[in-house]
Amino acid sequence: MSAESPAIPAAEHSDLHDRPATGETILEVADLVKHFPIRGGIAKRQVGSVKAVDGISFDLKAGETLGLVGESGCGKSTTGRSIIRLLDPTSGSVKFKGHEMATLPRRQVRDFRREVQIVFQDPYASLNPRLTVRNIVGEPMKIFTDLSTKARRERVSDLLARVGLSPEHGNRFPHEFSGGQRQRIGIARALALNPQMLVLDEPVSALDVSIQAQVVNLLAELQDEFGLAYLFIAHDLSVIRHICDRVAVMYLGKIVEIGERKQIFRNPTHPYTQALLSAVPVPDPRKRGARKRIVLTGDVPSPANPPSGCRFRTRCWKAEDKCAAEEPLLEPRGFDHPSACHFAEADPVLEGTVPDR
Amino acid sequence: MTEPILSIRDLVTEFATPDGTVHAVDHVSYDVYPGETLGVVGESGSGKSVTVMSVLGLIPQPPGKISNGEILFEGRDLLRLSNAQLRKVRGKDIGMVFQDPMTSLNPVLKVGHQIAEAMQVHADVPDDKARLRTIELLELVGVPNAEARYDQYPHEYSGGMRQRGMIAMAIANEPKLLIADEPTTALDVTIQAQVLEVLSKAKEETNAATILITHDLGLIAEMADRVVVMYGGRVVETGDVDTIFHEPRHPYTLGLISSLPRLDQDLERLVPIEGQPPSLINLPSGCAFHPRCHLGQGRERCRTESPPLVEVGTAHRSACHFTDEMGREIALIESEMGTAIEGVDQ
Repeated sequence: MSAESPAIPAAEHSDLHDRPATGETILEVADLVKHFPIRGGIAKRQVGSVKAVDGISFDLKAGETLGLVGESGCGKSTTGRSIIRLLDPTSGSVKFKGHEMATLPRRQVRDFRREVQIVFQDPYASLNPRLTVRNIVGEPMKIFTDLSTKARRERVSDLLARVGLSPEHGNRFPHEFSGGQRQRIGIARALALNPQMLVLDEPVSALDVSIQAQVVNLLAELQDEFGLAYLFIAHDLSVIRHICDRVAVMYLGKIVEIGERKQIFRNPTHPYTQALLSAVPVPDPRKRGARKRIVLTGDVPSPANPPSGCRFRTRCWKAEDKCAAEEPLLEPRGFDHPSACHFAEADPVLEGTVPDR
Repeated sequence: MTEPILSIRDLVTEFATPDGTVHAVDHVSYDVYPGETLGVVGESGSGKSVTVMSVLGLIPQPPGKISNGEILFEGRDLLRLSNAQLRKVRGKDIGMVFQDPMTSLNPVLKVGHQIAEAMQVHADVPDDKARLRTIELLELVGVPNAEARYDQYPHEYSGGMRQRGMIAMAIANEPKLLIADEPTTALDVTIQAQVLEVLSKAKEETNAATILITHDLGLIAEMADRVVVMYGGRVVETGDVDTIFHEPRHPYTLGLISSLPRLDQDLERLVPIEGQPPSLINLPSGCAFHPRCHLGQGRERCRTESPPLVEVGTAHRSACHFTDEMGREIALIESEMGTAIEGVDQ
């Protein structure tokens, strides 16, 4: 390690960099809250806050993929960014292998970042246009390790080959690549430090379908090869179904339902999950009309001023007085996975489209 | 058989760029019949939008140029009309809905006013009648409090509401043809479902033929009667929607289907199309798809000879030299995906 490596007492964080056993819980998020202040008036005083993430809890095991799914403004990206401390959480706890990260001083966050890296949605905006690909992918190693220039060079070539680019691509600049290739560069950069976990923030949303499949397959292979845990943030439920082991559905800053992939897709119990599943177009003309259609009314309310009680009640066909008065907690409610609805009820909305096996 | 309402014949649209001429649309032909929904699918740069922009006379010239072809709308060649004549067709007989409702509405005019104007440009409608009809239209497309909403500006509408406003405007003159270019791409899935319902309702109301342009095969499967698949500025396959999804006869169409993660199925793996989409500046020789094609395997004919779009079944056409090998190719891909594509049961 170089002289600038973080001044953390070695004993205290000794296990941070040990590879975890598969199935070991590596990330525990509890009551995570992130509010953004709204300032107004001449004095720019705080006049309110956008409650982007408002008390969510989940955990993630080594080698596992947890999907965080929801529509724009539900707080899924803010969650990802708060976890890796690109944003400072307002309150709550983020424990990585038992070590509290939410309140760690900025200087010490670096050590944690070696193990938890992020891939962003927009491969155009997340790569520095003035650096060559070699420098982009090599930069994390320059900052975090004392590898020699030659060793870094070799590792960059290996990484580029691993993500399906050729080592000669290293001398080029980001603008010379297509969207899918840029996303591969972003993935190579995230892998440079051999992390234990990746936050994938809509990594395939900006890509054409043929390229999206290439990147999805690459991510799956890399996970098997390196035993990576993924927090996979996406709005596309089909991608989530293909890649995730477990799924958390978010709405207006809250998790409304969480469970194993099968539990969520076969037996959703929250009305919002059911509405989402019934709204996604299925690419098979023979299944037209085979599925129940739930078309929600209205738009998502503003997270600056969320509805009282259940946040989904303004668009929910089941809403009663209780929903406005009392916030439903994320609890099992007699089902095999938790749901945050007073009137949770299993409804296999995809039935008729899903072959049994 | 009924006559097509729109017939695109051998259309070539090119753009002059510093790096050379780009053939964005390269000898494209397709028909749209009254009352049907034609889905046009393709990835970025396939020419699907430029084709309909050419139909509407919305190609900026220069740098653009329509250098060949005919666009027959009810028998009249739109390419031969003057700008003034074309303006009488556009927005009246042909309605349009674009992807981004914020940039296609004028931000300094009230939404209701813009819809009413669309009517008054084409017919002598008094202000009070136009207002009433606009409020009716807003109600039809599911804008709540239509009377109050009439007097609001686009920024006071949400994304889904704006797109409803655009649909109201597009159908205000009861067009015979509605062109919807990625109408729901910018919207969340629950809002998309609302807007699609409105589009279907609008179609029922007007019985307009619809061209639905999208990159989303799910939308095509749910909405379209017939499908046109485009790649590298050309049509590579057309057929009815069931045929395209279950008996594709072009390797690119098959590749699109096998690339798709499915909400309705567990797949063993996705089978992507290898390589990158072509650059239009430097389109591959012969069949533009050949460098990425698993079926062609770099055969001489694919590299040298551009395959014509030929009949391969009932109202089913494909532009591939080796369509007769597609059955084997599908079986191969099916075993990799762990699911069936080709099905006989209806």
